[in-house]
Amino acid sequence: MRVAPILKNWFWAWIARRAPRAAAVQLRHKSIYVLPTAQGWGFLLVIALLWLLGTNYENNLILGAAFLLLSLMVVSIVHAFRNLSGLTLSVVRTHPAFAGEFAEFDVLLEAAPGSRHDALRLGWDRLLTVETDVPAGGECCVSLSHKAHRRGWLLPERLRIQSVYPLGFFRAWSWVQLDGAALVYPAPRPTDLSPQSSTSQDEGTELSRENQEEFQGFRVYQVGSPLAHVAWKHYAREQGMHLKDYSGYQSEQVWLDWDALPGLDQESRLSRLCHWALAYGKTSAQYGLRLPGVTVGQGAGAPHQARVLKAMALYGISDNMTKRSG
Amino acid sequence: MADREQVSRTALAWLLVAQVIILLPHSVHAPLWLWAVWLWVVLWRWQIFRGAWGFPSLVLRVGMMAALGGGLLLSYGVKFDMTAMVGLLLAGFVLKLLELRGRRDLLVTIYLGYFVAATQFLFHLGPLAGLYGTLSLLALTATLVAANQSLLSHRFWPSLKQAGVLLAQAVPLMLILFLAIPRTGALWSVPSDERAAMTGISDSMSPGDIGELAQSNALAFRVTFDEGKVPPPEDRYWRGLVFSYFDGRQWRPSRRQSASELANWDRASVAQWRQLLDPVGAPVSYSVMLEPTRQRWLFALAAPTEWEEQLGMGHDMRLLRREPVQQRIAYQVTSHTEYRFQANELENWERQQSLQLPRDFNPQTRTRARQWARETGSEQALIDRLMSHYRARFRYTLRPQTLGQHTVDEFLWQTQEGFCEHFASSFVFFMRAAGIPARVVVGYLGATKNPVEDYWSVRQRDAHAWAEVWLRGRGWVRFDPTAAVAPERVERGLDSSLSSTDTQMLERGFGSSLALVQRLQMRWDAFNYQWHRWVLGYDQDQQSQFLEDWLGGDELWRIALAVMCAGALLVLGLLLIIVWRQRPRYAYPADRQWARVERKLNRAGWTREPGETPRSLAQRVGQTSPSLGRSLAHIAQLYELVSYADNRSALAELRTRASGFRSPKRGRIRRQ
Repeated sequence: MRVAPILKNWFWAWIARRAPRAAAVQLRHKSIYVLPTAQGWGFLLVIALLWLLGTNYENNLILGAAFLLLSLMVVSIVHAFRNLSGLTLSVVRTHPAFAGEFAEFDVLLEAAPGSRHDALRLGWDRLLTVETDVPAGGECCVSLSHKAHRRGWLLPERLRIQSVYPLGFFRAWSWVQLDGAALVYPAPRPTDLSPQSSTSQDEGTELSRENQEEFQGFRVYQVGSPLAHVAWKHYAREQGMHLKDYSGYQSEQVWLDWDALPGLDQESRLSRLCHWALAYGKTSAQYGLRLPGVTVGQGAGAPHQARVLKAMALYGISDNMTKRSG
Repeated sequence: MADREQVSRTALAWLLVAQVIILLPHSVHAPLWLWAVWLWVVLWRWQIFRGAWGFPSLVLRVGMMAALGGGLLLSYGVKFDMTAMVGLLLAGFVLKLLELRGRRDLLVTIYLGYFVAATQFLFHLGPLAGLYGTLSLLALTATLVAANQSLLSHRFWPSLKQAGVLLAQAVPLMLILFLAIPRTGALWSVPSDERAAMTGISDSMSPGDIGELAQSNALAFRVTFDEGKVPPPEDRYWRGLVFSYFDGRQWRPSRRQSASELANWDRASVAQWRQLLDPVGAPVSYSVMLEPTRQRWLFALAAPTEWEEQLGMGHDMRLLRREPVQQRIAYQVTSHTEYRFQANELENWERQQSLQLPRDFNPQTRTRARQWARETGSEQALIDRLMSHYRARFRYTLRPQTLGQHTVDEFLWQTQEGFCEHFASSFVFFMRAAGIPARVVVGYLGATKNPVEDYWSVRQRDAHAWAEVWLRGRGWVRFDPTAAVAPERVERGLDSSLSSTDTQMLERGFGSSLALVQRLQMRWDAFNYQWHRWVLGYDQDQQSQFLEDWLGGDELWRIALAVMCAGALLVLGLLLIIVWRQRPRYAYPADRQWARVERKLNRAGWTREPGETPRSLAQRVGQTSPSLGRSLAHIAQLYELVSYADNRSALAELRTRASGFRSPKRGRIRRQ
């Protein structure tokens, strides 16, 4: 019972040695594996039946057909290998995700000189494989999803790339370890608490705890305003497009404060803060982040939100170290 | 998960193409309405594809299969044999199209298709059939390639190209497997097919039978004479059957003649009657490659004295086989064309058998025979008189007048025209009526030499009937009454012996009057012969000979080793081709040299950063290792000269520098 995990570890270490992690990985004979599929065994059965037919009727042409199909199988081993060989993979871009969701990696596949790669399936998860072709001498970019379990830098696991092209008798596959980490934000969790810590209550106007979005009235719709704020009922009554004005946030200056969430552990606090960051990101409020030892000044807009979220994602995690060693 | 995947449009299109190609050669035995079923199924499939109709329900599918099975039962009859089995497979192959929901169904259909495609070789065996069969396999392989493509790429012709490449690369190994994999012989007996009608000599002879056969140009057998010793034309009588029983209309072998127990099957223990054969003169050795006849008799020159193991010798000097000739077979025989057989005495039963006559037929001939026998006094004189009777009045024709009840009477004394069977029949009847033992022999007369290959072909048009008469002291002697009327028949074949209106009835190849076409036909026939001899006829004997020659023995380990080596060589060769085709290509000659330098730097741990030029890399390297940086800077300068200033003379120096470049080992510090 204890041997199995040891063997498994040893096996994966061996695989990793053969195909070390790199920014761009070219599939070579060292890292491509080929084994028959169930269809391959089925085809062998057809060949066996043909051989029986040819032998019993002493028919050399049927025997010849059986032998031709058998050598077709042998040839298809090489072609299955060829379909992966020389292919270069690299991560060109990563998209951040929240913990518990899927982070997207844009992977570039470059064909080997003068060859075409057909029906490649690749993915980290068997259920999330993507099928693609790489035209002769060309390239193709696919977007792959990787489950993000924890916040921080997500360094992808072994990417499995496989194909049964051209005949489906043999599956060629390879495990690729790509450099290129995706940022994983904490999973957002809603909370009833107010982000305003006691120390920052003097700044700005206090909001009622029950309804953070103080409804002020309507104003005329302007292009670019968030659609969530459109007064659809008015629009439906053909009274024109109006916005519900949450002026309570407009002039708001908010600190998303670590200390506003007493009694929670680190990850739970980050989750609440993340939720707030997202909520305020939808408004035009100026918000900042205060973590022990890390402060992001107040601001608004998408780049600011990304900065805030990144600070939360990497809180307590050494940026460089995680990115390198995984 | 993958089994439920959609079927790609390209794969479906190729499957339809493959079905047409595969069904076509089966049309010779399968009922034609199967095509109607196929069209109906394709229409349904098209409607499914358009979304107009749904897939048939299970009840409907079972109903269709039952209806099709019933139809096949009506077409083939209740006897279940190979043809019926293939018919059933075809029906399944066609109907499966309506069940095709996912990838797995498609694969099952394709695999079934491979099997059905191979069964066409049960019915067609020629070189063209081989070529056509390969075409079927190509179409199916294209279907399989299309099925394994990604769903988004509709690559119709590239599938075919890929399949062609795969099959072409498979051929060398296939040849080795074909030559080396041991032939075990049939593992169990299989139902043979007795349905198909054959042209050839049958086991009875009525007036007009051979005349009909002579209009066919089909091949009967091919002969190769050992050491080129070819017997003269007048000895090329290929005996097949001997008829001793006459019922007034039809000649047949007597019951005793057809009893196979009476034949001598064991070569070692020679039957007593065989010692009565007394060979005279020189032997002729030859091998015959016989087309399938579905009969048990073989053809040989009289009188066979040596033959192969499995064959037997009938009491009337003909070669026999235990099993009907279902496929082309080859056998080796030695004959003595001059011989004496049963010269001294004829056993009683055999004498009676050779004098048998039906009671109420041909009274005129009976009286005339007795009368002539009295008048002539000797057997030889009687024969001579009958022969001169033929010579004086008779006409050799393919289209004689129809004969009534007394066939011999009418032929001999009224119509006096006919084909060889009329002559042989009347001659034997006359002899028997005169009290001389006689019998009819049927076979082929003549042979045509193929100028391309060294063999002779005998065709159905060479079919012939003649007579054998038993004379005391000489035994059975051959007499050919046809030769009396048309001596050219023996010397030069059928064409020259018939009138011009008659020759028009003979079947011949297209444009046989043109010398060029004739030559091409000869070549084609020669190719056919080689195909039959080396491809279809490649059997255990030839195989062990081949293995002996090439591997030094036919032990299993030698074969296994040879096959594995061949497979490994093939795989390695193909891999080498891949490596060669995927080699890096450089647009400029300087790039190749720079790539060499970069590879060496890589090994030492230096990697060029993205966007770094050769010169800036040299600078960076120079910061750590000034000497290396200097030599690198020189190479970078040369590279720039060649690449951008198009300085050809610098290329040579760059080449020597690049090959002479050595970078000292440097720990793998920076691997980006």
